[in-house]
Amino acid sequence: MSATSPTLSVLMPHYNDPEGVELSLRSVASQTFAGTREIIIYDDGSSPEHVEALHRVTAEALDPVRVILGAANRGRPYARNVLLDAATGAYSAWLDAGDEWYPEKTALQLDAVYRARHKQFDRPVWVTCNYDWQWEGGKPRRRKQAVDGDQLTNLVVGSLAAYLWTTFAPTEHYRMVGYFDLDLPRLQDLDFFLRFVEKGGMFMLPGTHDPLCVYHKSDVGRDGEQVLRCFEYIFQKHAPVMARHSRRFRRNRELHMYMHAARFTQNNGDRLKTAAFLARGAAANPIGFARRMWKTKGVL
Amino acid sequence: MNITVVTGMREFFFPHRIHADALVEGLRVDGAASPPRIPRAPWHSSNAGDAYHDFIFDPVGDTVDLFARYLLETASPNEAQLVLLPFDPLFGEAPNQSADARRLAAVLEHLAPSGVHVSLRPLAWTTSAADRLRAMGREAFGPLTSQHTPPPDPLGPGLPSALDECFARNYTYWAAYLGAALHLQGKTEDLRTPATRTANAFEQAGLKISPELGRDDIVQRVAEVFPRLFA
Repeated sequence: MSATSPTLSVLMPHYNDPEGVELSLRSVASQTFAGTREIIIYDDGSSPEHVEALHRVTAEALDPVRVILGAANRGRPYARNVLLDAATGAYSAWLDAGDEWYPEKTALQLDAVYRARHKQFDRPVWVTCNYDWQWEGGKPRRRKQAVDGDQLTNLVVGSLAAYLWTTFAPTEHYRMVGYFDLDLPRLQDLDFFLRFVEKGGMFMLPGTHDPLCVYHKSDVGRDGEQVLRCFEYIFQKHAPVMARHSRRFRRNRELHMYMHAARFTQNNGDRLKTAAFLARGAAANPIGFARRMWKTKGVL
Repeated sequence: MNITVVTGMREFFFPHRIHADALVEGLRVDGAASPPRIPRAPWHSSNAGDAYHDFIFDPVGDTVDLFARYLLETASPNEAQLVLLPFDPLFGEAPNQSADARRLAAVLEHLAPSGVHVSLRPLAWTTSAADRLRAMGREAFGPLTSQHTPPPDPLGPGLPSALDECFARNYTYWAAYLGAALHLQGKTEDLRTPATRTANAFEQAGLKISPELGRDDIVQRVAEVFPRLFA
């Protein structure tokens, strides 16, 4: 800890959502963590009126905020890379504009880092946490993060969700992974998480099972084709991970990929594409598809 | 930013314990909106409401360095922090732990960025925090005086029973304190350990307590001597 560097860097990518930033900043201000912190927002080429609103919001925030303005919209992975480079804190935590941390999140996660140090863990550690998942207009639903067992498998099946804003870690433990993959406009976090574990990193939970943050979920504007391409790219990139599993496992992942894309297109009102994705899912894994549709009564 | 390492907390808690809320309230600086922050080592086990296990840190070996880093990383720029350690170097007890207490303060001073002030203080002689703790002791001691007629003068004939009562009611600090006064008068053959240690420390410090002094005078004498020991 130097005289000038803060303990914690709060890293927030932003694109055309100043109201979301306001919500997120309020949740940062309510943290019980008492150490020094910096908040860095990277604006990924928002429209001029949104940038103006962003400046208004950050000027009124309780914490000083450093805003880095991107000249053009270059996507989430680029924004994350700029933020990771800009962080000067010993630890970093991510918060996407529009999501919220509950007050004890960062304090409990820092405590978990210290418990790991006390146990003399010699592996890089990211502390994740259980979280609430709240669809627009819906009630929060608690989601648990599975850190037991093979964490690579957990990431691939989604029982350990690759949500960067649930994590907290020494900044160097993020940087050791390298940069976010610019070829992944979606799911760049999943790739980043997989690379972290492949490099020897591990996830742990803080000393509570309570959710420590909330994800305000919306599929609006999300492109099913794009997410499908990103899934395919990741499964190819991490082929050795997939190869460790049975053919059935891989088929189930393939089905999951199509169902995910179908949900995106359905929630954006594109019935034709939704039907096409469902058909591809059914063709890839007919039994799995039938089981899933029966289990969910057709709800994606 | 101020970090004060307060030693000798064990004497305040044992043989019985006080509630965490009472401790925090007792340490509130007069006039302050909130009590100082008392960080706890995250790897310590905690019994909710038990101040000793919630707040008192037993520094052991390498954990001293780890705890020092934790304290600095969680320290608010705007809040005072108190680090509470069980052992007091002055009492000559548990030499290893006492050395750890000093080491913790030294590591904090070494690691602390500029603007962070670190000080090592034995329990009773921190300024306003000690006043609050003493006030708690007095408050606790209050009902005792009403049970004795005349009220027990620290150096009077009623004191041995008052001392026992004092122990029985958890007021170890006052017990030790009064015990020291007795010991210095040669009246303390059956005193319990904390009081004996305190008395020994008083003697080693060259503190003279004469029979004609009242309790407030003794407090004043001790307060004059102790800061010199830690200057």
